Amino acid sequence: MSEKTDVWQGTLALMVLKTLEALGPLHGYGIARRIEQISEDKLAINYGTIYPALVKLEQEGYIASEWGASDNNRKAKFYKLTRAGRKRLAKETEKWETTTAILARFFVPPQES
Amino acid sequence: MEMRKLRGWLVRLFGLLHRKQREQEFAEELENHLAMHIEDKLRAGMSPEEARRQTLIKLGGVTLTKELHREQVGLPMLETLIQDLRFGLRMLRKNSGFTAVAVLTLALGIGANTAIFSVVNAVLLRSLPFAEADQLVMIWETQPDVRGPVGTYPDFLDWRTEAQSFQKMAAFSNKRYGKAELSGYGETLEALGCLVSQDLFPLLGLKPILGRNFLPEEEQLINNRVVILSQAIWRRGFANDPGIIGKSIQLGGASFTVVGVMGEQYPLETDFWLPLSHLHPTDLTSRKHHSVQAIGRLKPGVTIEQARQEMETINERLRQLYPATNKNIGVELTPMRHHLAGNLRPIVLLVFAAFALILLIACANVSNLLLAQSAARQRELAIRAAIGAGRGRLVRQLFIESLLLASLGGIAGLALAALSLPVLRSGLLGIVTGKIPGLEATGLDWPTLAFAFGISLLTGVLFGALPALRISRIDLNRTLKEGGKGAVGLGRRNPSSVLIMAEVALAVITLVGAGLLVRSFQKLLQVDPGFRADNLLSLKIELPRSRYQSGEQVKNFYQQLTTRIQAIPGVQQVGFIDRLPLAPSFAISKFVAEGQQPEPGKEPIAQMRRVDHRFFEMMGIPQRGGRLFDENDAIADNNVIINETMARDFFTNQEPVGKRIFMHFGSGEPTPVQIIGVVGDIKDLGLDAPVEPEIYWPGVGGEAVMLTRTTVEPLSLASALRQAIQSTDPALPTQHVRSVEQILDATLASRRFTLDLLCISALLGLGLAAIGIYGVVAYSVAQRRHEIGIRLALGAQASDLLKLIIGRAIATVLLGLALGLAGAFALSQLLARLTAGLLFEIRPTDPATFAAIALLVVVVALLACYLPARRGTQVDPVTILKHE
Repeated sequence: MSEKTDVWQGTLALMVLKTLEALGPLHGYGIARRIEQISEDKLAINYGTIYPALVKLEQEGYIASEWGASDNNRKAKFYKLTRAGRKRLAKETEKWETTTAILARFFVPPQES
Repeated sequence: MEMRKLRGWLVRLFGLLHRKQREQEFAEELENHLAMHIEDKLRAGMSPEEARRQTLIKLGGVTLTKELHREQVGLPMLETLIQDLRFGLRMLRKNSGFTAVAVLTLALGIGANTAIFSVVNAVLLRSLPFAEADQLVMIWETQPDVRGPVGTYPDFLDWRTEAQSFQKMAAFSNKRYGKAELSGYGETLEALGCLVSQDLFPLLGLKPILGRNFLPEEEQLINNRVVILSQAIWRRGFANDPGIIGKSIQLGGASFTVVGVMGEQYPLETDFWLPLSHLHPTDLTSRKHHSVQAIGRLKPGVTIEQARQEMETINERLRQLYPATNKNIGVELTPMRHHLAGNLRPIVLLVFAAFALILLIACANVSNLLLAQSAARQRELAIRAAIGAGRGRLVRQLFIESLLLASLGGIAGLALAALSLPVLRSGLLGIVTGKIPGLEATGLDWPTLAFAFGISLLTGVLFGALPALRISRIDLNRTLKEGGKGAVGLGRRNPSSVLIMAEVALAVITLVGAGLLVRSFQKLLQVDPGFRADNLLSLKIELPRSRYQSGEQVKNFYQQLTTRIQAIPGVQQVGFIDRLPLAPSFAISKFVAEGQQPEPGKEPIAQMRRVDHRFFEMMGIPQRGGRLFDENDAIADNNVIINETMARDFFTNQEPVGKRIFMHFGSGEPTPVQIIGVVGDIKDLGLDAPVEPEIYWPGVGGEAVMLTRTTVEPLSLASALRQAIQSTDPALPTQHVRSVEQILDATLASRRFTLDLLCISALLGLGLAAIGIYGVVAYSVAQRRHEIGIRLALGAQASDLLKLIIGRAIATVLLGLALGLAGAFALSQLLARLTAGLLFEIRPTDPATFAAIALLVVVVALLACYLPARRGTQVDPVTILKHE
């Protein structure tokens, strides 16, 4: 696995967690579509890549899955956040905020008086 | 976080189990994903075809998605590995003949090495049962003519006070109580005693299991009637009585108080210990009598080399202070471990080296088999490469097969080692002098198993490397075009022939080594001991000093015994000597022959033995001049008989009889003695040692060996002899009766055993090389069936083809032979050192041995070529050509 995909996977994983937090249990197609919508189509992902990310998150215990019925009554696998997932999301959010706050100071220097 | 990652890996590992189910589930999930996506697109007004097309594009391909998913669910690396393993096993099963030969070859190599390693580990590597045993060194004095790890007590005392390299230095002596009678509860036991300085046990880190160690004051002459018993004798003679401490026991006729019982870690065979002050009074004060052995514990960080330098400085000072006694004395230090391994060390190392060569030959053999096989598999491998298997994958596949083979060989080898270890162990126990810690416990322990595993892996890599390398370089197009008939033959620069050459060379080296030992042994068996060894029985007699105090009592005993023995039917004659020849005598002495003036301190040394007046005649030792002893000769008369060597070396062109010799016994004036006779040489120090000057004195003392010449099979008289002793003195402990032929045999036991092992290794080497040659020739003939068929059809004679094939193979063998002989020649110095003391009257470059080995190898190689070559050429060309 190259470093690039690793980073991408990490970011994708966070987006998945955030989506599940916002929308509750959701199937793979729904998650992929939501991520694309939120990014206002600036992020063009292959929907297929969402699945390895989901498997990995589930293996590590951040999300859980079960079969259910979709809006138009199709059988679909629904993913939802576990408690560990929520915790990780909170931690990542905090980290993200700190990082962006620091970076913001570099990119937007405070006005000198 | 890390825990979560670990959990992820574990889940993936288990994911390997239900793969089918998981894949089906995902297929369903993906199907619904696509359906939902397409429905959304249809709702947006797209045509069904367009919707489907765009959905699949957006997904990134169904197969790829499934592939990505599968990789995340399981462990792809492990999966391919398992695949390769499965495939490897299938290949091995398919070529079961090849597998059997390879596994057997490896099992022989690995098994032999594992077995011998377990001995190396026990004897040379495993830590000794003492605290920080690597700090322990033996310190001893070297004398110009005497070998043995001994020094004098006064010198030891000086060492102990002066040397700074040691934390502690202790001494012990087996001299005075080498054997003593010890009164147990009930019976009298014969026990081995050792005199020790008080700090010996603390130095070794040993504590008594009962009672206490000796006290410093007990090393002085007063209050020293104390004894420490070994656990073994405590059990044997005192029924493990915990109340033994403080009790008084009889030891060699005097009473001693038991102060302690020592556990079983003490390295030398000993039944009891006494304070060192029980040394003979002259040994305690004289710098002339070498009677103690010293052990030192090095200070941390001090090397044995530094300690040796310091000891040499001290020794130099002692030499200058006491020139009369110490002028020619040197000092030597050896690690305790080497000392304890004793005569086993060179043997074990030699055999280990030989078996290591055998393992290399085995590797070369299997490598060759694999090469032949991989040539046959070139087509298969080329096809696999053509449909996308990477070179790395192919090489890995071949390595996995090699490692599988090596593992099978390793397992079979372990079984072989387990079977052969008891034999090896009992053989070694039979030849060791004294007790070697850990030897009895030699077995398949963890280090040995680890070793077996290690060498299996190593051999796998070794023999797998060449075929794997070759495969990684195959030319796809050519192989596929040629229909995969890769040829393996014995042409020049062919890796097979290089391997065969190496095998032959290695086999030749081990054969030469074994051959030299065989020749030495033959020469040794031809050595004339100087006496008639047949129909001769030996029996030790030890008269307790307590009951045999006067010379008269001793003399009476021997007279009565002789009368009784001679009355036994089948006994021809009987004689006595204080110590049996073939081993160093009890006493040696410096002497000066009349008319000679050697440099003071460099006087020659003679062995001294005491014999009764019938001894020479009974032994069949020829009289060479003067007269033999008669009944009236007594030791006090100072009349001696010398051997031929002494007469020749010290009375050249003179008549020795009637001349005097001056014996340097003590520190006083030399004692003059008169030569009354000369007798033939006997091999006094062993069959393999040169004869030394020997002085015989008349009459034996309380300790002697009775030799009985019989007219019947000697051992059949053993019980009659014992009975005669019992009737003469019922209180004497019964002794082992052995025939002198048995004793002669025993002096050769260690040689015979080493020889056996080396011969096994050499024959294994030769056998493996022969199998290797056979295999390669057979394979190359099989590969060239077609060509042979055409040649025969065109009128070639089968015999010419046979010559051609054999000629090529033999050229390779001869090259290997030459290399091996050159190698053995180049290694001859090393070989001589490795076989130290094992070569007898044979130079390590003995031309006869080299020639015999060369002949043997050529004959075996010819046979190994001829058999498969004949089979390959005695074919009907029509059948072959039709068949193709």
